[in-house]
Amino acid sequence: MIVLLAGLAMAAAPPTWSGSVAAIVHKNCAGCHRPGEVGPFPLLTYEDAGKRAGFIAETCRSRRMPPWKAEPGHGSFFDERRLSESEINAITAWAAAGAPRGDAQAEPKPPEFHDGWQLGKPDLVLRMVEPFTIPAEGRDIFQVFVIPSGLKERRTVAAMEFRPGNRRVVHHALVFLDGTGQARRKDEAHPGPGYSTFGGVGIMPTGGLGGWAPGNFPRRLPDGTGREIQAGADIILQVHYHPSGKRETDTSEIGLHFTPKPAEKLVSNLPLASRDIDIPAGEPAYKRSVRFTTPEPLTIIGVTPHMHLVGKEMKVRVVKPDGAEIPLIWIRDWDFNWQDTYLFRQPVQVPAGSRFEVDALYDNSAANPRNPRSPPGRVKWGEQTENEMCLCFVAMIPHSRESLGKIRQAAMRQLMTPGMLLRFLGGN
Amino acid sequence: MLAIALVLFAVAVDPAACLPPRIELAGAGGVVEAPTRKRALLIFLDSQCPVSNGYSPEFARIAKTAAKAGIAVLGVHSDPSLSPAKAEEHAREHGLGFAVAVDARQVLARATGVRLVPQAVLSDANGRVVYRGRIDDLRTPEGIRRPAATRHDLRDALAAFIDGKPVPPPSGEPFGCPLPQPPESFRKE
Repeated sequence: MIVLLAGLAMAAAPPTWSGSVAAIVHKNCAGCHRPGEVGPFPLLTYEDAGKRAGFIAETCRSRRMPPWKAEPGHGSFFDERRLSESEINAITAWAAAGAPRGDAQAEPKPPEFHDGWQLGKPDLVLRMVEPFTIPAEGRDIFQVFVIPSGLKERRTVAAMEFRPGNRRVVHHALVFLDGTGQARRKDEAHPGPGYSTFGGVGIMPTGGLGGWAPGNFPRRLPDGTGREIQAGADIILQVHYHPSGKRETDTSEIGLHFTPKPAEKLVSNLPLASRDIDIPAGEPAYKRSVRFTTPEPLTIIGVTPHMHLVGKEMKVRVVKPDGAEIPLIWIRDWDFNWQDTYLFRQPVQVPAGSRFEVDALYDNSAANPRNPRSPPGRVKWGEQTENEMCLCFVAMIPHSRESLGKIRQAAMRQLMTPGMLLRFLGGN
Repeated sequence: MLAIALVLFAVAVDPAACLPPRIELAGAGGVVEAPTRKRALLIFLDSQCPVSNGYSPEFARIAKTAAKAGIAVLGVHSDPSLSPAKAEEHAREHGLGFAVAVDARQVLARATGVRLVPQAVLSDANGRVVYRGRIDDLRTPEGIRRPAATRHDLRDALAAFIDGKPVPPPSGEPFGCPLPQPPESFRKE
């Protein structure tokens, strides 16, 4: 009887900060919610979190926070910023009970973060040549900076680490390569640091090194693999800035770790794209899909879905020759502000003859608040704010350079993909 | 006679619906009395709320319009853990250009019904609230950001207030950060 009562009392006792909530918040929130980081307020101590308890509970319940757009069950990724139901329930019950502190003596200490290069000292550090000024307000800015790599010979990169200079305004970054000098000329033609774009980088890149978003940790590519940088290539850094309400400046940098010897297997981006987009004004559910059958086996390490502002949903999967399906990713509520590169915890092995399927949905109605045009207008493929894209980059490792060549040829035959995107495949 | 009665009725003010005559807040230079008995624009902000901070330039512009028309402007921080000196620094850094004060006990927020920032309140010389609500519809009530605001609720309300016309209510619900809520253990006085 006493045991039963004790059990009931325990069931009724709300979670406390020291008992369970601090651990959940430290593990899932504090990485960004700490001084100097992108999160608007720190969530390290009871004083920080207690006064925001209701807010935290509401944003977690609605899954606005932590920001994570990939649906569970469709791919398992590194750095997954997702709370479990039981964690959400604990936070909700804690907030509803008035955010009790519990035993202050038993409180877990805030985690310690190390703010230098996460992967150790890079072999090469490349910084923006001059600081970029972000105005206090206005639309988000997608600025492209051209940084000469200064490399005298072709190298393969085992890891890239992006370090935002000013985390209050840097929302995410994508890193491309240009071995043609086009971006440099474009930069020279524009006054001030870099030049402004929206969906793309304004040129045809000759490769890519990956990206960064808050909450991402840099990772080394699988042993024996790397991403190639041509001799003399420029680094094309596209940074998405978010005006904060006051003028800010930023000087971001990237660190490169090279493979000790040239990698045998190259990591390439397979652009599964369709340029065949023509969305009537007001259309609330426009569908577009991409199909691609690979003639060669390959290993997938990541996916980067990409649409613009009327994009709503994207689902990507692989159907093996035996009919078995491998779900790669499903974004149900596409948000242009969260252009993550999703890296698989376990690389996905794809046999020859497998079919990639990308299915995208667009809402070009007036009811879509993100619609850049009011009233809505006809939307076609393109790089600008008012254009759309249907694109998913698949970061893949073909088994050999010959194999990459065959995949590239198949992509050119099968995909309605603009030539500029196919250059990401390399191997030309 | 009827007309006079109607006018009298219209002017008569229910004291219960008015802001308390004296509300003392903490400013960087000492006690700040809330402008509850003059025409006022109260802007409820939170130095840690990105949505609120993002409106800083718009706050500054609207405050300028109000001040030109002789309306008192006060920025109100309802965060008990914010010092008045920090509030002042925040106002300077964000170029607000109007006075700010800390309402640690959230008296003004309770009196006006503000539970989420950013929001604004317009009150007349009797302390009667004629507008309480969002700044504009840049974000939907769910938080989705539009490319640009399509309804400028506070600007429209302020223009009507200045012209002595009926003040239109906000056209939708606000989005932003709920006021910091001091948990039980913080509320020792």
